[in-house]
Amino acid sequence: MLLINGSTIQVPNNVRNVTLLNFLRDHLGLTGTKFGCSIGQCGACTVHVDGEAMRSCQITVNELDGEKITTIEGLADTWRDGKDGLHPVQSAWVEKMVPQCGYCQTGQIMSAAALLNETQKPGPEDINMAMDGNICRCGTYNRIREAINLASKNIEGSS
Amino acid sequence: MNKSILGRREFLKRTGWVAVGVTFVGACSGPLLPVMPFSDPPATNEGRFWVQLLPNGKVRFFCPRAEMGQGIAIGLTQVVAQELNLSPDNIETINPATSEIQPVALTVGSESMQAFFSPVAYGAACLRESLRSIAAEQASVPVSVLKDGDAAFLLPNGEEISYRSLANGKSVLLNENDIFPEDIKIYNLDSKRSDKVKKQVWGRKTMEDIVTGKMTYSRDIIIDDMLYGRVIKPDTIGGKLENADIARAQEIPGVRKVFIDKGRNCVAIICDKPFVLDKVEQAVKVTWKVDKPFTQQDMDTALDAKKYLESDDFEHTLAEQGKFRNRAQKSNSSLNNRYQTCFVAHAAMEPRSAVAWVKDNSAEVWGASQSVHFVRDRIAQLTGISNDNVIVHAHRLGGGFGGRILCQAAEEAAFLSQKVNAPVRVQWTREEEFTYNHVQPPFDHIINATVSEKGLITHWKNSFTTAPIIFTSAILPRHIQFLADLSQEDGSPRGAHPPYNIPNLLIRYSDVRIPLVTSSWRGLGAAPNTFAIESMIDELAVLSDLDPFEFRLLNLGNAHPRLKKVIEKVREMTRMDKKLPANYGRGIACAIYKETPVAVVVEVHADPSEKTLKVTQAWIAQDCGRVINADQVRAQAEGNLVWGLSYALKEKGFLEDGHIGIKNYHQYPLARMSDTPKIHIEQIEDFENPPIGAGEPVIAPTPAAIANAIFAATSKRFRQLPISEEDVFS
Ligand code: FES
Ligand code: FES
Repeated sequence: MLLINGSTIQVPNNVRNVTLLNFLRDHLGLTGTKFGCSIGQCGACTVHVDGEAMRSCQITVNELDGEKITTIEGLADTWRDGKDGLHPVQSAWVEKMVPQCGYCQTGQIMSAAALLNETQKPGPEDINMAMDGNICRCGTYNRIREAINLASKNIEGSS
Repeated sequence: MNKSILGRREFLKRTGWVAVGVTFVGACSGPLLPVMPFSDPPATNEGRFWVQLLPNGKVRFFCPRAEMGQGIAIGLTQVVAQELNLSPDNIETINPATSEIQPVALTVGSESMQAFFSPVAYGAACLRESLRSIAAEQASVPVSVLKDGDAAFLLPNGEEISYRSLANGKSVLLNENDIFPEDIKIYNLDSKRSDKVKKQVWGRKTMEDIVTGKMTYSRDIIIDDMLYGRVIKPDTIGGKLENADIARAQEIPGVRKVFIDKGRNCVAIICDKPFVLDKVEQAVKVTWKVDKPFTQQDMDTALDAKKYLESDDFEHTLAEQGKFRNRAQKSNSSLNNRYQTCFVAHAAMEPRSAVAWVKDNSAEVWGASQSVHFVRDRIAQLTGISNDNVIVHAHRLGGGFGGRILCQAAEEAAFLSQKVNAPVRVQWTREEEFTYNHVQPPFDHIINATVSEKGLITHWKNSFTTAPIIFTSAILPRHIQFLADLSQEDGSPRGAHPPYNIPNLLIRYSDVRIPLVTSSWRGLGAAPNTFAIESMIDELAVLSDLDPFEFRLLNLGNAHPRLKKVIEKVREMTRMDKKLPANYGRGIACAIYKETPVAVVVEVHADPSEKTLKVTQAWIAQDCGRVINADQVRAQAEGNLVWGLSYALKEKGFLEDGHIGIKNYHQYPLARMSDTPKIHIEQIEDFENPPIGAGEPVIAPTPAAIANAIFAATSKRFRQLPISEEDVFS
């Protein structure tokens, strides 16, 4: 059993050994979490397990029994019960028009949101550390950095 | 116009084949003509069919360009909105399926705004004037009294006739027979009007869909009852299937079918669930046979520019003027240098994917490509179904930039679907994406140049080798390749002509067909060619003891005033005379990418104690004419700078065991967050200049600017890409 975006999900026996990434995408149809490499190198598949960033391609469903998982589809709900429609990190991403092709961005956002859970005001090095595992072939890194700083400010201002 | 009804000659012309004399190919065996992507720029009046008023009063825009992150859908949406007086809420932009618009040129070469601005604006203006006529008729007033409102027209008394009321529950589409004057008023050409549109935020809905995970990419497609397929392909370049043992694989629960197809040189797997594909693949034992594996050394030998220079034998002459042959090779003010780049991979973040459903006489495909019509035609040829009965649905691409014209996953899915009469999904793994997608070829330049005492370049002889980019083996069947090889293409030599005023010029090259499949990558030949040219220019400036900006401006003379302007601009932005701390250095490089002039200055810090090399800042000045969406143009400049940095410092393709040696990102480092410098951008904009490309120009000069900056910081000159930290501190 898993708790995904607030819903209890039963795991049928025949998919217990499947990676969380494949389970989300191909069993639950939650396609916001992306496949990029399957070896933990690109970050496209990032989700939260108990609020921490985790590469969903690197862990199988049976290793997560009872864990609380948040995917991009449920991220906004973790913020004031989703009343704003978007999590502040997502709003900052829109504000700064970060995405180009956009494929890497849900993973980037999940990494960034986890960083801000941990460190409300990350410095440039904190951002490098937290985000270096997420590749963006389109090269949107500077806007990602700006969006993280903006989200950090907005979260601070709203608390 | 429908391609299927074109005469052969017209078809050839439209696909660019007349130039290579392909009409003589009749004597060859095999299919007469390969399917080629459609490449003609659109006629202005084609734009009439890309806009539609919906019953709810909103306008639908069938965006004729594939969106892969270059922001073109946002820019063109703005163009439509401007003509029709729409706000972002009143327009919906879609990626049309092949059945929804006529074939358009494939999305490549940063030409979308340049080639599509006019047709899109014209089409939207035609719809606007049609709606005005309907409004005038309804209100029984002359057309001329109706003023523009917001998604509406205004009567002289101020009363509004909204588009919604005009639609009246129905759609309004322009008809083939509707005639409009060529000189219909184009609001986009009126600088005063454009301000209003520019003040609004465009593309917000797209951004929201992306950041919430709602955007559908080809990998996200779910079709009821689809099966899951994979095609096992040769593990060596040119490998032939010798035998395969599929017995064990067939027994795995969840397998629908495993079969060997010698003709297609593959083993194919179809499963009921996607989760078993890996296991089944591992259970299949295939032996591939290759007479002689293609090695890195074979490739280096095949593309050795020195060898070609020694035999003075090049396939193509790009420029020849003044006196060059028969002059003394050496003088004090001459340099003879060699610049090399290796092959590089696309490494787009989304490995390609598609779902295909092939029925008896029709087929439907859900995928993504830089040309869905090309995919349609390939699938039609593969399945024997007429192309009018094949529909390809388009989706946003998770990157592409030359790497996703072909959609091999769609072809594989169609092949499998035809076997089992059911929809089949094929998703390439990252390993397949690295191994079976084409690469940017290596380049090997030998440049011999001379400067006068005044610092003027008098002679420039560039001899280089590379492999074909546009006439790629990925598309051309073997029996036609030799014809293509006779003619000069625009891909490999792109940017190889230096913009400077050089009286004696000889540029020759060979694009040698090698077994490794080479084709288009971001900027085609521009980044490697500019790396060679602008590194040499920097070396000549040093030799002449001139400031690198001055040297460039001096040698441009009266040529290319727009390029001179961006060089001056970037100099002003960087204030080069400012003294830099120790171990810092700045380098400049410039280029005209197709028509767009761009200059880049890069600052690096080469820290000898830490043995680290870091690009700390970059300045970009660019002139892409009239700017439709300044923020998106900036985004492209930023992205290209990072891509160029990645190319210069990180990316290294290599062959191993007869195939591309890269399997996944751990063997192919790319620029990441901590590698990215601060980037300063200035656009030189003149509203009177029509829009030109912005999706690639910055990639061209960036690698050379970095190499030049490293020289400034360390006095070490690097003439090979990528440049690693180990090289810098060895
Ligand atoms: S798909 Fe998990 S890190 Fe790349
Ligand atoms: S936006 Fe395209 S890979 Fe990041």
